[in-house]
Amino acid sequence: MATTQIGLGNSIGTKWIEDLDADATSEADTNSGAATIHEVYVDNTGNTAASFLKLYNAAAPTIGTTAPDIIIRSRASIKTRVYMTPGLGHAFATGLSMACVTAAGTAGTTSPTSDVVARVRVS
Amino acid sequence: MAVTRTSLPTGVAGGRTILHDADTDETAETDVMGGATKVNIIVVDNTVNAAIEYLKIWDAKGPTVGTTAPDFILELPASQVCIFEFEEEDSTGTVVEYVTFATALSWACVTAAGTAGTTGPTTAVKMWVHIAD
Repeated sequence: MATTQIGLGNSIGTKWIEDLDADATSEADTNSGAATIHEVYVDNTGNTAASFLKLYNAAAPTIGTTAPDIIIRSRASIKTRVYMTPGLGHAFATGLSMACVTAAGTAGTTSPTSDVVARVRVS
Repeated sequence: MAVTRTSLPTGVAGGRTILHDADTDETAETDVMGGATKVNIIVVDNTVNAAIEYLKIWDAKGPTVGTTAPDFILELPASQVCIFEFEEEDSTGTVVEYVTFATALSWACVTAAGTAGTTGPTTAVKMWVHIAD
């Protein structure tokens, strides 16, 4: 399923980029260019094993090969939030692409057993 | 240089331990809490480098930098102080202000994203970690 963009009205991020079925299929260039990341949310409550949300500062990464710039692990049956330098954020100059797999690090192309919900708050 | 550990006074909300690594680089700091731990906030000062650096964090006692797959990778923008605040929520809706490392907490900082990379920043970064109770 494609990502959707949900507008916000504050200065710490203007919208959420949401993927309701984050898996090993790359969601590429979700912001159509550069993005500043303020928060990452990973809902892994549908899985009894850890999942790894990988964010790429790239327009078209190859999952399992392209080195992720950010990895957030969400433990089994847990939702995980990471706030990124509140009020400033972290700039991805090229693009924001994402995928979610069962392996840490760069490698791994296996999707979680159940889809994960991923949200990235950006400006 | 080893990680220094400071205990805060009783009554400090959220946790009473601060870890400080004054030269976070490609040399892994391993099992810094001597087992499982809970990480509340990480602060990294990358103002000393004009390039992006990458903080790699492992839930493992003795990772090999450049080989062991990191559980977390946090991009550190150039010339920026970076703050990472962590939360977990279980299926009952209980929210805690930390992420759990079930085995151990280890870290290193290198110039490359992903698993690979063993080159440290031009100037080692400073890092502080607030450990939750």
